[in-house]
Amino acid sequence: MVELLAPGGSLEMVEAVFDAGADSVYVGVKGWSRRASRYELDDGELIKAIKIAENHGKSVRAAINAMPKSDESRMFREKLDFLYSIGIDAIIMNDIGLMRIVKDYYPDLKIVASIGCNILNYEEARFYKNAGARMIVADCKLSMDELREIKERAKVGIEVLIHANTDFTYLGKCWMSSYKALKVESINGKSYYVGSPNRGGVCFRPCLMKWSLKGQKTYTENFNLPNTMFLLLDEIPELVSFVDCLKIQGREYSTGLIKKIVEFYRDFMDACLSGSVNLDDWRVKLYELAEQRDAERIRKTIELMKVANNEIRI
Amino acid sequence: MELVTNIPTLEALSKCSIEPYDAIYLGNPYCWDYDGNLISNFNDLDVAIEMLREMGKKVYITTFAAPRNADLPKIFKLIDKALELNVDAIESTNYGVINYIKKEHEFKVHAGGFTNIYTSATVELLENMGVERIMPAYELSIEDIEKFKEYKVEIEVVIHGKIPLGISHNCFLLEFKNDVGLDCPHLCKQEIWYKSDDLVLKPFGNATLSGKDLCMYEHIEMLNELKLDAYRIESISERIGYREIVGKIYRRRLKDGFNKEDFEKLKSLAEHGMCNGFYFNKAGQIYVGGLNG
Repeated sequence: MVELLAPGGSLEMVEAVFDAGADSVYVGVKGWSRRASRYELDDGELIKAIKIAENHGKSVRAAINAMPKSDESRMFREKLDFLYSIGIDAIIMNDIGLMRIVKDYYPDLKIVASIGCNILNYEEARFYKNAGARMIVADCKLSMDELREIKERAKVGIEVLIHANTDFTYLGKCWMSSYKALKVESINGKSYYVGSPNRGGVCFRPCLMKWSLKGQKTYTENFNLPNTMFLLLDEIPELVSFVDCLKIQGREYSTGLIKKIVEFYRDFMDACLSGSVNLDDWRVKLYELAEQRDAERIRKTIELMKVANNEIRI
Repeated sequence: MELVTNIPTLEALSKCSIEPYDAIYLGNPYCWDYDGNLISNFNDLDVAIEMLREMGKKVYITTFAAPRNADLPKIFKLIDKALELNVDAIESTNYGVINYIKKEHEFKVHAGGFTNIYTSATVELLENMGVERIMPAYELSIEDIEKFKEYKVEIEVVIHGKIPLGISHNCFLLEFKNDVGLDCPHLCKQEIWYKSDDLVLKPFGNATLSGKDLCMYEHIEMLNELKLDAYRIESISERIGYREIVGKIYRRRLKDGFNKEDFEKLKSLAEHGMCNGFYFNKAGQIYVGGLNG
């Protein structure tokens, strides 16, 4: 049975996505994930999130996928010990070296190789599996055939994003945001790089600025570098036949919207598994959700650009 | 201390251009279709290697930076060719490829800048795999890089040039071929830039480079104190002459110290200014000056 994984940007969202039919939820560890800290949970909230999941008979993954500084490895170990002690079901990681440490210390703890690992081929998937990952998050740009080949050759669990954004660059291999602006702050003694998603801060989304193409003259202007909504539907009946998890991204969206998206995909997956579905009807519903989602994203993008320009703080 | 640069094609390789360097990375890792790319033109690669050997230079071959399943057979073929030619090392930024080379061939490997090397734990893992050299993630600071010195693996850093800021699955510049009036493989060889407010980027194949030239000319003594193993001048996308001039300037810098005229020359070569902010825990496009400036 394919797992439906939903975001938990707050305790309210954790409760809501389980009510909506998610099998599991992923939450960010405060200061340690690839999102703004306000969408991450502190230690007390992590314990509560696990309780909520237990009440629903579901599970919780903790994203601890920001790249720490080398002298923060002790803090990483302490956080890892804490996560293990509270009974987290899995952790989402980015750094291959730290992954190997987790495998050595807690061999029974499930590791998911984050989207930030940017795993693009079966040799790389095999390597991450050997380093300890039981599941890898596939890049949105991989085709169905590529996913099948990775699954067959690497024999590792595959998680596919069904609601996300595809960026101009491969996720995890982009420094455009921190090249534009960077603020080095601290959360509970851990460094926090606002502007560097790889290092645990936000991305300022420079792709979505208004760009022009210039050389000897201005060839064209007012375009964005590609950064578009990624919503799967038609592919899901095939995906559920061989992948292990379908993931909805969106810790930073409103709880109400995320709840609707989870309900939509839960119903759709159940319909797929129970027999034939009329895709046209589902497309209409998804289009309505996409419009609401885009409106929220535009607001967030404007806010992030203001942060990059020092107009506001987050 | 090794001074290295990268050369994409045989056409870009001249005796003058490589004279200041100890070692050369051959090939463009950002696009298989780049006109004359040495990683996909083996006849040219033979000639290039012979030329470098005659000049007593070390030869490294780079590999495609973001390989999907379909790219792997081509990369394996290139690795076989590199083995046949007995080059000094292969550069890769893909853990799957790095692991393949080490497991199947026990050949020397340099892990390049897109390998995402951020932590000591990863440096240790690469060292244990037998990787000979690493390039830390571009956005790391000097103090972060210093931590990696406790391992035996060699460390290479960029000291000048346009650094890669991202890589994608395709060349977005081709969207504008009608606006510019040129198509692949000529489009990315033009002096073309993405500009928005204070930000300038240089499209180059599947990669996007900094519009500004990273410059550590004023900070060489600080870097020397770290006793790193190689300094790279990024020149993969540059026009004729840049590689030679910049190489000579840094060669003089390493031998004779700061020279104001040379520094001014570097400034004049940087079409959109200079930067080095990442090394100082600041935004990458910021330039932090030294005592000499």
